[in-house]
Amino acid sequence: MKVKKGVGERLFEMVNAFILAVLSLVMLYPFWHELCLSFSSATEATRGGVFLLPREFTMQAYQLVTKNAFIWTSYANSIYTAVLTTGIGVLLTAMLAYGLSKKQVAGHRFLSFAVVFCMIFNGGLIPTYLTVKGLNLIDNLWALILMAIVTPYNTIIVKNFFSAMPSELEEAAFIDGAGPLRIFFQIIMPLSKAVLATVGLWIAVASWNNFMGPLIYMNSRENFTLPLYIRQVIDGQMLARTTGEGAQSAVESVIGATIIISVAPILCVYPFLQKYFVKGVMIGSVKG
Amino acid sequence: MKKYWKRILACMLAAGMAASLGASCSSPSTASGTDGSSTPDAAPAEKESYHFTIYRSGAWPTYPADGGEGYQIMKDAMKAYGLPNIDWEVVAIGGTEYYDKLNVLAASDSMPDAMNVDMVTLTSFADQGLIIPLEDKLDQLPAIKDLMRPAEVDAVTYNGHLYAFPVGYLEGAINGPNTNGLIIRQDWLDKVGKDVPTTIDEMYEVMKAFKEQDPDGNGQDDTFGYLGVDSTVFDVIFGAYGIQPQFWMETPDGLRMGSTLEGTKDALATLQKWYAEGLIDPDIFTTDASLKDQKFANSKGGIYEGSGFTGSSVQPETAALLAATPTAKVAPIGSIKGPNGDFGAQESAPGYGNIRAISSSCEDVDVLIQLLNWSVDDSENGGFYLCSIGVEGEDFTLSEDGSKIIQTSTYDEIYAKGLGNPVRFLQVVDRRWVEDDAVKCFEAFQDSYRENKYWGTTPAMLDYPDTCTKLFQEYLAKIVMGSLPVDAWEDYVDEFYSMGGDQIEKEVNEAYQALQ
Repeated sequence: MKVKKGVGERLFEMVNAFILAVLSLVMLYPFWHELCLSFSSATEATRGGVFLLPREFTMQAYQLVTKNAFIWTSYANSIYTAVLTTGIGVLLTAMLAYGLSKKQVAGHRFLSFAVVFCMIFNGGLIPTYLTVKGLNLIDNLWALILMAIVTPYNTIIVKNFFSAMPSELEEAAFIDGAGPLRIFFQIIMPLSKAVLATVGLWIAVASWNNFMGPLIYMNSRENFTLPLYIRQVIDGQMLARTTGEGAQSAVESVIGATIIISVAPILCVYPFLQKYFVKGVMIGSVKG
Repeated sequence: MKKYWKRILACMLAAGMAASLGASCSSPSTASGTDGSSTPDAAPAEKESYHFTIYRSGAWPTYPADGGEGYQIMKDAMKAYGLPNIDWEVVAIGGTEYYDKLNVLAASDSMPDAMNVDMVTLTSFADQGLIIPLEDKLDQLPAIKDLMRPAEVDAVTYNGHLYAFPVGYLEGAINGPNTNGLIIRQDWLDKVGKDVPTTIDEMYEVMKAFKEQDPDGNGQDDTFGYLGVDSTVFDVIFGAYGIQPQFWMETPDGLRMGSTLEGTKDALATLQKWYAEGLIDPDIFTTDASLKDQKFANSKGGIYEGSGFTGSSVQPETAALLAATPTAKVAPIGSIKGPNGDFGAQESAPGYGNIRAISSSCEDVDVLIQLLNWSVDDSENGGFYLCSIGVEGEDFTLSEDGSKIIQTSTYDEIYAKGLGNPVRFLQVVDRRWVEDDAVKCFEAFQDSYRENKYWGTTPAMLDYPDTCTKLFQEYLAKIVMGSLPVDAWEDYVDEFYSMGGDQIEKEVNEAYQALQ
């Protein structure tokens, strides 16, 4: 059965579509602008203005950026850090949260307190640096990984999810002869895919975007991650401009090309992960 | 049965907790990493080799992690020079975050051996005893000592001690410290039939012509006289009124902040009038450096806050201008004189903003100084060229009389090799590579600047961080744009002194007296 739409409703839909179209253009344009800049010639990129298409199309900026092996090194470092942080992080967060969701565990109250305490107070930059130094992890990517795997906030989110799970499930599995480990890995974890994917995504995004961590803890170029490296490229171009050394390269288009290269993979993966972001927003809210 | 449960859960919990502690708190975690990489252990005296960690403020993304082939080239040269057992590691970070990192290192007792500092860092590190006085070491640097300017050595002297090495300057105006100034469109001047202005009145006439006579010939009223950036203090204009607003200036009552002196008001009145007449880019206070370049390249303004490099046709903004307007020509404005014949732009920060300190945790200071001296020694096997511009014959050639450097590699290529700026352990300014067009601009800018009588930082400046710069910039923008009358300058002076300005002024005068 088709309900005929009134004039008002149609008008509303048209206006709605128009506003959304304008909004999405506003969101998309900055990206398009960088893309055009990166493919434009040096002089045209410096002239700036609004870009509908690249002007004086050239791949020069990409040749310049990709000629430098460090962009791939920092790429690899970012992926390595993000993957390990996310993998280990999800596992350990779930393990900690599962324990905390069981009130019968010894010291449960103290441990819950300790987790919440860490959420409110942390050691601060200098003590943390001293710890990392003491562990001999300065200039080692594991400093970034270890520091990001378990955060109190994620733990509490996952713990609440586990607490809401009917205990009958576990009892049934227990009666069928499953041990705690088996229950955890084969009953709880698969049933919690949504929350684990969300937390995993949060950890991955935080790791991917982490700038201060690599800045403080990494020294060698070989251990730079992408955000830090991009920042160095941009700073380097600015520096070259003021010291007159930018003469041979194209400041704006090199910055554009570096940004495009670094966001491209995220852009490719994002559509497949987007639903988990939406789910993440829903977690903790009241469900029907 | 129940116990078994508890044990397993407790184990899982413990594993998670350990990670959580490592992540959130500072308590030592269970894992003790033995796979660390940095910090070679200190051997007793009479070392077979010396290792130095050197922090450089600057972004050279192509510089290789291991020093690249440049490392070996430098090692070979040092061996021939008589310094066979020195080894180094460069950590380069660009932008302001360099100081974030340096401060963390300082607070956690992990200082590098040598590092770039700025004046704020220099004073705070010196107060904490983190860097050492260097006045006795100057004699160990024969290759650069005589190239340093005495004024700059004074400027980095704090509490009676030299806490950093400034840069050296090769002879000639081209290598002078002041690189910034106003650039004017010569082709526009020709079109409106005027000469390069030399006074405030002439500058007004020229800008008026640029605004009204459609110098770009596109038939639209879309050109301005003056292009600058949001952080501008119109230093050339203030200079014409005998002021540099953010410099400490000598008066009969001791040093005073320029912006609190009477001439400031006259300069503000002039600027307000110019802005109201549309001579200054109306968006100047929201324009960043790259937007300013865009406007310049698109012929929106005739006078541009640039640098000597703008004169070179390969500099990005100038190249873009020439691509769009092949007939464009740029020229430097030497100096603009005010009603009383005053003039002078801001001088550059001491040491060209590139001063180097040595950490008090450095064990072999004298050996480190040998390395520094080698890096600026232009005799045979010295590192002068390697540490600034690459290998002779491969990356550059010298003209016959040695007055010009012809580059055959780009700077990116030099850095990728592991040479040049990243390993410039001390700097001697050498712009022999700059093109002739730019040389003309540098020469025009050199003799027209005002000195800042005190470059240091005092404790009150750190207590009142906004008083010396931000406060003035806010009033400047408001007054120039006309949202406050020129008389509001008096409110500014009151506010300056009530926001800690009196304390700052007192401390600056005391420190200045101590220097004399």
